[in-house]
Amino acid sequence: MNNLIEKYRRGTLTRKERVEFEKSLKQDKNLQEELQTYDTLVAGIKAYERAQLKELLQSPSSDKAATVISIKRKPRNTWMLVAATVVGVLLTFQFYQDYTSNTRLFDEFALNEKVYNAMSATSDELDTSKEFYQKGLMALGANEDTKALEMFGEVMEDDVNTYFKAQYQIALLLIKNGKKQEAKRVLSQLTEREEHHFLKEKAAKLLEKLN
Amino acid sequence: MNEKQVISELKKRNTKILKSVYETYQPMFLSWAGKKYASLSPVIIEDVYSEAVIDFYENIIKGKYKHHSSIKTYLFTLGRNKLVNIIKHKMMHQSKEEKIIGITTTRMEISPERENQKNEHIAIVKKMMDELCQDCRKVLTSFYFHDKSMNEIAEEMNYKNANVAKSKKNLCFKKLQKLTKQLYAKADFFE
Repeated sequence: MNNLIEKYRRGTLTRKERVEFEKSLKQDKNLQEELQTYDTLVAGIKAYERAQLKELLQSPSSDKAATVISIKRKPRNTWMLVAATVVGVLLTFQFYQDYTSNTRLFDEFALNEKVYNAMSATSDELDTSKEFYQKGLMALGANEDTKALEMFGEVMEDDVNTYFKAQYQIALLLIKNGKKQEAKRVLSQLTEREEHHFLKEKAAKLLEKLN
Repeated sequence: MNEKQVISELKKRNTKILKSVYETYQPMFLSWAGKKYASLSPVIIEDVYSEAVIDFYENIIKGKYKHHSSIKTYLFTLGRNKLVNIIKHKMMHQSKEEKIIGITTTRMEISPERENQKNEHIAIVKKMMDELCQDCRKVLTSFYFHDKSMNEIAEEMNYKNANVAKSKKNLCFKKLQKLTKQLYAKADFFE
């Protein structure tokens, strides 16, 4: 049975096999126990290896200077920067012309989100993705677009739902401020993500309108 | 070495590069977190940083890290979330318990008794790993933690083929299960 449990946990069962397995799991107490034992053993193996890795990381290096690597982000292409600047200038020029259509798009695709004012009372130390998102909404409500962009930008990928919403809000704000190219990039990244989220469809529609 | 190369090396499970990543950002993280979360001890902050680096590594080998943000931002976010959880836990339990014993305690907050028992069992398994032979430990951690394929394990361990590696893995898993059960029985006896 271990083999079946392993396939179930590693997500390699076919849909039919998975449904059957889950059906058995509901009725079979022994199978529930076996699954629990499997999970505990795997968690123990992982905990063991984490401890080994932690020891390796925390151990002093024999030659520290040699091991510290110079990690650089992907080198920026000067021509890309020049192009981006030109696009930026053109976008600024177009801003006045596009202003009406931008705000219309912003209003049409805006999310109906509630702002919890109580969040503003939380300690500075407790800034999590959700709280950043709430702060972003508050700034959005106060028409402080730059602050809103900053707050939404702090929301990180590990909170998938909030991240999707924040990135979508960033795209809307960029549109509102006439930065359609940047908005397109954000929207494209959202639509290309593997996770399922209702905003992917909305982002795709918005992207279509922008194109 | 640029970030793309670093990630590519980490995908190959290059732990030397992982240590380099750890050492590259450690001073910055300790300095930043030490100021921002001054209520936490440097020992906890350093431990959290190690955990964050290991999470980062795990996310890379599981394909969860998409390189939408820089390594530094990603590590700092992982670390920050962990530190925030510790502070939240500390605030929640301050009236009951004044001191935090260690980071592991912060993970027991959802349903303490059940979580305690589960953690005890995991600790037993972890301890029993030391009772296994070196090959068994290597095969099990390669498969379950580093997510290596049977072919990769066979190649690394000089086994004839993936089937031999799979048999070895199953045998080692059963050994670990047997050892753990024996200790469970003893633990239950003492309860």
